[in-house]
Amino acid sequence: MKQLNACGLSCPEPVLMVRNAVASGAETIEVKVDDPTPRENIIRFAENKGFKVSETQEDGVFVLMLTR
Amino acid sequence: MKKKQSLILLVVGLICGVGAIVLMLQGNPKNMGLCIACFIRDTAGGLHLHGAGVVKYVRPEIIGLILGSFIISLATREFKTRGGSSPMTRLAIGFLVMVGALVFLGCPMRMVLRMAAGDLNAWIGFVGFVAGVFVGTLFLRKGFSLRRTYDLPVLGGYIMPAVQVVFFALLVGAPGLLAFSEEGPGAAKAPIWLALVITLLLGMMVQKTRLCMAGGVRDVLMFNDWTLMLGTIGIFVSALIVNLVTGNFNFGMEGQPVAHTESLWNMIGLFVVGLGSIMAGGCPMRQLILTGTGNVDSALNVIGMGIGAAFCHNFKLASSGEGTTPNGRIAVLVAAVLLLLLGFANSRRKADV
Repeated sequence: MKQLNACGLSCPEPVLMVRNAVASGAETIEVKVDDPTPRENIIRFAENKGFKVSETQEDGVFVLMLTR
Repeated sequence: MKKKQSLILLVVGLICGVGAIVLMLQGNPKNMGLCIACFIRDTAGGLHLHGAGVVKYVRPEIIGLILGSFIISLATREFKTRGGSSPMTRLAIGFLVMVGALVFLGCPMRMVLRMAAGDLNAWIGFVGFVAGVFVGTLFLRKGFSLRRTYDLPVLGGYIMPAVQVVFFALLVGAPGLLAFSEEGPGAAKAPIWLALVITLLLGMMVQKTRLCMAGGVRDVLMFNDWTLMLGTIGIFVSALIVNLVTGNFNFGMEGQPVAHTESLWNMIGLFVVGLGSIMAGGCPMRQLILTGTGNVDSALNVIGMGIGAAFCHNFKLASSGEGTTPNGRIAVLVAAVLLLLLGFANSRRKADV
């Protein structure tokens, strides 16, 4: 599983991190993100790429689990 | 999720376009129902920060957009004071973006409104805007980053919204302290309360949808994702329709309101705006909206735009309907070079973030 920390990064950097992980062949990616905008953008990108997205929230940080 | 987001963005774009044209029909300058760069510049003039007599007015539209975003982000618990992501660089980018915007005569919002009014100069400038966004995406691919933001003590995020309340109080309660244009674009204004209410509503909708004109082009170029771009398309379509219906559509290059016909400089001006917007993470309107959500880096970007506007008029960098100025032509080239240098300086393949 690939783990990414996108907290504090502004768009589109979090999406680019995910894209790079996808390009490197990761099929399961956990992304931590603390801002609603990159959260939405990551979900949109991941769903476009055929990933299933599940989400938990801890202390204001969204933890997105992307799997395909 | 995507279809719903796309539809909402399109609808909000359509509403923004109508809102902007209504503001124009109610008194704002021609093809300038809403222009973030122009209105920050007018506000700088209204606060006596520059001496250009024709562009002085503390615009309620800027106040409304920041406060609309502030109110909705408080209501939806999205307000969070954060910053520390290269603040000085963000302020400088705001300054440089304003130089580009005032050479073209408009921010991306006004560019779209001018395009929807048949102003071919804006269509030519749009080429430069897309080129600027494209160069920005090249930097992003190379690892461009202004680094992370951090949570900050909450008070900092309230300062800019509070300042907007003060500005509005001065505007309606003590206008004698402010400067007002007696002629020119600064004297063309929609009624204060109408402008405030419309932009409060737009600020809320734009915050909820994250509408951003630079981000729209960026997502198309980088991810082939048209979702965000639908907001811009919505603004264009509704403004075009309302312009056609109300007789404000005038196709051509010559005689366009508050515009000049120097194509090269229109393109370079918007190149600077496009590139700077991508580096700052959003167009000038998005910076206002983020400011309302407690992002103090964006607040600094907005302050940078205000300072930039004052310099542009005090040092004769800003264009007018008669064309660019020699100082402006030099300044916009310098701005482009400085942005490119900032791009290289903040890029590395594996960003140390």
